[in-house]
Amino acid sequence: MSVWYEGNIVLIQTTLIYALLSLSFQVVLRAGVFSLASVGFYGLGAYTFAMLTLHGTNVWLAFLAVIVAAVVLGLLVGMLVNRLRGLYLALFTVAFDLILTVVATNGGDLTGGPVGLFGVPPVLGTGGMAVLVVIAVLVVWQLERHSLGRSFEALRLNEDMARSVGVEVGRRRMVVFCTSAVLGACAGVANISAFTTISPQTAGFPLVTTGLTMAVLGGIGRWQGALIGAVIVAWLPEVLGDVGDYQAVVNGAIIIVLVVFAPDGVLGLAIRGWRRLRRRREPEPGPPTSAPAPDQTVQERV
Amino acid sequence: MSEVLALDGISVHFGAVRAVDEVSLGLTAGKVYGVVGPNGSGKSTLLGAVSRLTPSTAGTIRFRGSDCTRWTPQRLARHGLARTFQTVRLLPTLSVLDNIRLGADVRVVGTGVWKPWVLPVWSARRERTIREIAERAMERLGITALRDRLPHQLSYGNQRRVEIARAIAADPAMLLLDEPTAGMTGDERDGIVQVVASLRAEGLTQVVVDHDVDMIVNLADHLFVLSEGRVIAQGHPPDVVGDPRVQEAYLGRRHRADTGDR
Repeated sequence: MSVWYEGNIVLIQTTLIYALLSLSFQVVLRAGVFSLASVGFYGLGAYTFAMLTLHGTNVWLAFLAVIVAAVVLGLLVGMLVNRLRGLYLALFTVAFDLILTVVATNGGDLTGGPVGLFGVPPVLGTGGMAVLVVIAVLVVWQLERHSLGRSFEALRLNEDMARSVGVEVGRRRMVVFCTSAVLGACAGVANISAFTTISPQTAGFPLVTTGLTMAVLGGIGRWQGALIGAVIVAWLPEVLGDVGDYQAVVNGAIIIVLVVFAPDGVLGLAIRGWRRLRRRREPEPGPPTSAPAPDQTVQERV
Repeated sequence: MSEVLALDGISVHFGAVRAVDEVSLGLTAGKVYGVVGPNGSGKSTLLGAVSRLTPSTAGTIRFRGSDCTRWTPQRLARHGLARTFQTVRLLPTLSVLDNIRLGADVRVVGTGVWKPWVLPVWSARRERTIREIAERAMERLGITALRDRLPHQLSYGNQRRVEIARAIAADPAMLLLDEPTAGMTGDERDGIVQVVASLRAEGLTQVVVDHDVDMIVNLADHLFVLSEGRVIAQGHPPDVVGDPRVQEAYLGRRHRADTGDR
């Protein structure tokens, strides 16, 4: 192994865990489901995996149990989420995250209480995490392609229009919510198998802001945005190491600038730049044959 | 001629406001129906009720023989109802081609998620069919050259064409057009009129809501006039526009506005 890899193994593994969590946020946000429940499922995955493996369950069986638990809880919570929109949905999912944190804190010996659980065998190395990320990307990519991708885009940008062309709104929202639940739980499993410990603090509310920052910063339109966001959030503090005491301030300032000047995320900024470049190279077709669209035709963006 | 759509006592009330009030009508296959009326007369709300995007307060809707009064808009769309909107609704992040593909998606792929998700080859094959349908719809509306443009790069008239192309890509049994020529130049309006006429020739039932009475009179086989949520006149278009109640609904309002008598 190279010296660089050995020196940055924690950051590399953190990036892979963040990538899974960021994809979990991105997959729901892209479909217009303003869910922040990924962190709750992250905690569910980490705790379930820890409890089972510490009691001697086979690692693969424990992983399978995590997936099943995430799908079942995802379906149950998803049924309620399907009735909500916008800020109400966000508040509901934050409450879900907080409830799971309270359960973990007061779970006694089962969850380790406020201290949490530790001593979980490090079963997933960097390679295993990378494989998980690749599988997650394939799953999310397939949801973004062809008719599925268009239907989720329609759900996010104009739900009434989506209904008018026959898109089954409820079923699709449920699918992305459960996918997000499984990805969040996988991020939790990756975290505990890398760092061997989990506590209510590490799966608490601050992780919601981290996950949301990654997804929004990278761009929620495509899976690449989630990965870009994960890399930025994981590596920015390291890159800014020389700033010393002002590191957190500069870190925050850079994120603010990116959000203000790249509302579609870094990926959206890159795509717009590429399109502008391409338009300059190509001659414009004929002039518009009628008046420009009035203001009310500008579509709403999330 | 078979009846495609039958409304029986359809009402849409928003609190005390009766946007649509006990409207009953029957539409037969292959005809173009015009709906006119002053601003606020309930034309767009009626289209919303028919397409189930606006819940009706009372009454029943039968479409192609099925009672669809409680259906979701998506189920109704899959049963053959397509529509355009008073305010153009295109997805700003998708190209013209992709916006039109959206109309054909459910028709070709269905509503399931698993097959397109886990069978990439199956999905890619259907995508080719969807593309062919979208290409034909673009050709029909004369917007093939704009296929890679984003909606904000189009003129308002072309945005409306894209929306109509998306609707016909669904191969509907009935098409609702809400102010399809609004904001268009004379030539563009003529182009839309030709499209509506050619779709009628193919047997597609259409309902056209517009403020341009002259255009509707020339285009429609049957005209409904709405005022304050009610159908105040209907029949052969030239006869309907001569109806004193219609004159009152339009000219009376204009006259009162001119004289400041509200």
